[in-house]
Amino acid sequence: MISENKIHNLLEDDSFRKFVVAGQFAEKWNIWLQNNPGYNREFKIASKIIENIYSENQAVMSELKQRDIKNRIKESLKKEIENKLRHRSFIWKAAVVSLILVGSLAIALLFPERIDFREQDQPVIQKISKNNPKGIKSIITFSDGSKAYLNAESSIKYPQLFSGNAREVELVGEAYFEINKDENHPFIIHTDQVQIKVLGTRFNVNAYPENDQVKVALVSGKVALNSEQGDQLMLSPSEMFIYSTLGDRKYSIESFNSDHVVGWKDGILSFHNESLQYVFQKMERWYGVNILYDKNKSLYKDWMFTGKFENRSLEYILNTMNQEEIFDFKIENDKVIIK
Amino acid sequence: MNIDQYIWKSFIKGSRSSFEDLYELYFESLYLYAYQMKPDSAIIEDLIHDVFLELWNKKDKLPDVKHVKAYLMKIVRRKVFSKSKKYFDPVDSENYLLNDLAYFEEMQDEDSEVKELVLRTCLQKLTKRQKEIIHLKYFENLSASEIQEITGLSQQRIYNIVSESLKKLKLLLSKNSIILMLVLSLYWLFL
Repeated sequence: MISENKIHNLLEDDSFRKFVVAGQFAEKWNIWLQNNPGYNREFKIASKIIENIYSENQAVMSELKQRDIKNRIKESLKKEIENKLRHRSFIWKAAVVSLILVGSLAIALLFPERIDFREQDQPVIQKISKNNPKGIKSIITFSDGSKAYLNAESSIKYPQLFSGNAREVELVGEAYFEINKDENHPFIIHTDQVQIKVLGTRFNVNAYPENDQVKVALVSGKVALNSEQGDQLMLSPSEMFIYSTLGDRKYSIESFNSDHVVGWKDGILSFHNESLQYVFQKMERWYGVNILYDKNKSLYKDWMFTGKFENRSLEYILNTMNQEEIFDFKIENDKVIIK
Repeated sequence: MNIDQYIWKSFIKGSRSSFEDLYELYFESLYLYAYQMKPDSAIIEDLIHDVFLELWNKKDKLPDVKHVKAYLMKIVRRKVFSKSKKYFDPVDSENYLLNDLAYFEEMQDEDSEVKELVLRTCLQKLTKRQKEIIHLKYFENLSASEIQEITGLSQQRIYNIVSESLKKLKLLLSKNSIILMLVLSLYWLFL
């Protein structure tokens, strides 16, 4: 008398199903069968049932693959969705778009007293904190597809999923942003003293706490800046807005060299008439090392350095700097000793 | 929050890429489920297409969902039922009972590929509802409560259906192996 319960028990077992379908756990089941000869017929029937179920579905799946149904339906859906969206004149683009905005607040620098964003009453949304120590750079992709290249010794805090009216992140240090355009959801970057609000563009934010400046360098797009004083400024690509965090709230706009300011994300380390202190500080951050040298030596104090390196090792750069053999250096793991 | 719920939340807020993720993740399951209820690829292709389109169009009215797959399958089920009222016997299709004898006579008339036929038609001999539950339980590996969520049947009912189905299948498959042996042995005789 064939027992249904026995069949049922076998069918309930995950490893049994996997054995029948994929041959996994073969040893286990062979042994089991030897030890349970009373299950012989039920075993066969249960196997056949599983085979039946799976072979039917496999047949359908291979037909789906053959006729590429999945993609065909997907394409048809895409067309229909895009048609609808176009009628509402809402452009859904995943790619970064340069935007030209005149007379409107494309980027507005919000000064400390005017914190503009609303406190969202959201259920607890997981916030992710990405901290880069010295020597480490990373790329972060936000839930809307926007990207941030986070530099060394920097950290960024962002929600796993953007919700509410704005897309907001917190930055300490430096990052290069590629923000997807979304007119309905401005992207807001909070640094310690400055908040940057954008709709979609490419720019670099430098806000290391030990510096007394926040710099925003625009790579693509043309934007209007409104200052607290009521000035309206147009920022063009290759222009950098520098804001003093000392409290005097002075700001200026300068041109910048792309490699110099933004090159770090592409592995370009670039200096132009920079003091040794600045150069070493940047290298420390870049390579994750501590450079020990006598800061008081006048030789080092007066040194202005210009150079551009693309994906070079620490040793290479130090050698290049030292072409005239002015100093001796030794690299020990994460320490560099300069004499 | 597991990844399904995350994608769903993102989708109902309007994320196109999350919508595409849902499509990629669940297309096969939904298609197979719909197909085994109504094995007509033309109809099912349209149906799945319509389901996803409606989901997109109504996304801001959709609730937050705990079991995304079960929710989607429920929608598909409803659609299959409503679309194919004329194909489906809306009145309890479990009342359809297998006539074992008739089946075996049918089998004996076949003179080729008996084994294959036996394998292939086994599940076909279940009622539509039995087939559906077996599919959800042993192919999709869903729990009784998830099946309940999708079909609206009580867990007791589901258990009973599984029981009946196994009974039937056991009968079919065990008898068929005897038939098979008989047929094969007769075949050898005539060689």
